[in-house]
Amino acid sequence: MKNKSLFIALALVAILGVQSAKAWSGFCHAGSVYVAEQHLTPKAKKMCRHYLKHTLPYYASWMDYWKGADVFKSVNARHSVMIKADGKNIDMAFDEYGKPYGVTPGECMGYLRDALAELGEGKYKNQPDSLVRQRLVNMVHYVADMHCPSHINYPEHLYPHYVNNRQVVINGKKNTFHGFWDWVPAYGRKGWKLEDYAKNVDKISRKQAAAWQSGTLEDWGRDLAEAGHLGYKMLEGVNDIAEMSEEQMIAARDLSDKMAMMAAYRLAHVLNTIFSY
Amino acid sequence: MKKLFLIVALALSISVANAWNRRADEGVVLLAEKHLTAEAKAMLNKYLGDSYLDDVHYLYDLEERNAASYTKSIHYLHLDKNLQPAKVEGNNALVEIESAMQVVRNHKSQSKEVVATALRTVINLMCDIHNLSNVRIEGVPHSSLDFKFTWYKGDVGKRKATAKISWAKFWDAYSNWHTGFSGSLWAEDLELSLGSKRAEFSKGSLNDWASEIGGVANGLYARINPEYEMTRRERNELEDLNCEMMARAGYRLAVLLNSAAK
Repeated sequence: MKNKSLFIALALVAILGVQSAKAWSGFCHAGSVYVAEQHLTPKAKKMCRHYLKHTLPYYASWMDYWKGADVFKSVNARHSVMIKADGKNIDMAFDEYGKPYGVTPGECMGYLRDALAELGEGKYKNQPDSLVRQRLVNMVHYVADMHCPSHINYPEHLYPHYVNNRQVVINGKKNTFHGFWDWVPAYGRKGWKLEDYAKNVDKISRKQAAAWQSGTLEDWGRDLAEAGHLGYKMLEGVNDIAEMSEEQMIAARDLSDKMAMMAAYRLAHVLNTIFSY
Repeated sequence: MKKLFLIVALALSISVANAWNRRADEGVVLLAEKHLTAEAKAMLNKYLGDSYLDDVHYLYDLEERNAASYTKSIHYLHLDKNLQPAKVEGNNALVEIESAMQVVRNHKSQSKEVVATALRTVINLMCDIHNLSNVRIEGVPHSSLDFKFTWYKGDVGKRKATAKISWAKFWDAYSNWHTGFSGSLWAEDLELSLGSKRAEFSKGSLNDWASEIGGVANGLYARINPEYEMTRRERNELEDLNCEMMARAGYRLAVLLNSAAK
């Protein structure tokens, strides 16, 4: 009996551990959102500021601070996306718990789909300001979150080796696979301001930006599925980042940068589309 | 031995002055700059040049270099029981600001270096008196200590994590919430969120502002003390107050500089 309880407890820890997801680092979130703001149309920028009464990057990590607070239970759940069993496509019908979307609100892609349906084609004009504001605040965070390699989840029974909470030592301290992707965007960038990040990382061609922005949410999901696999592959067998070469570190940071820029251009596209009416 | 340890600990806690981080203070100064008259801008430029943002923590920088340990005690806003500026022995922020402002007002008859020092002092201390951890009120003993209380730190998996944090670090933490924010981004954000309150924040004199800041701090000291456990919601909601204090500092700094440049 005692052993059975222990087994259940360990199983629960393992399950919760796999699903533990917090945030891309504050720096990467803010950097991505700052870049998005630079690519808003004048009207979209004006409208965002009308509803938010703040700059866009001010709200980059807002959802993480409010997660779990009594008044915003809707932001409590996962800030992530779920990939289908094929490993290539996004699952917008089910969240990462395998429950139908909506049971645990917080799955990014489903939220984005709903927000677009609610605000798009000029519908935002008929919504209360408070609702538009909250949708914007959440989208600002979710679009970045869903592009973070550690927020891309795969069915556990098919990908048992994708353990988000797996221990990875960073600079001599216990951390996790998830923590690595929080940490790596700022690697070698001590003291950087968001302006420095934009200047050095936002070197995206118009053609590339247009390619990222085109297509459906399902198309966007395929990029995420690919990035998630790459993220796990990059840290395969790594228990301590001291084992990684400088080239491997830079490659990981490059992946993070690419995904942050993909998120930035897509967020700008979403907001520009909503406020084009 | 125990008594000696307590005395040393108390002395250390008293001597630690508190500030927002450098970029947040730069944001306060750049917010002020948006509302300077042409004369005030020219005055600032004449005495501090283009690099005045390097000096937002002028007094702290002096202390770090051990160039002026006497400045350690001057960051605090001392108020009496009625929240009026207290006549305390030695220096305090309000006395220092007033004395520096006298120099700035008479800048034409002062040496460049003296005016520059006075301006740097005003800039540093206007930020400091608006940082609520620097407010000390007679009859509120814990206001004079960098006391610790329990706050919500964040989630660790499914577990809520609480920790002890000092009153000073609590207010400083907000300026670190927005990682990577530059001074100019802070200024832009503060203007956007609180620009509509500029006239309200700018009203009154230095003494009025001190009493008002004291009132705000006193309300917090009434409930936040070493036994207090702060919820996540309260932690988050107080960020708005922190931003308001930054905006107040910026708009009021502009008022002082504009009046001195006339």
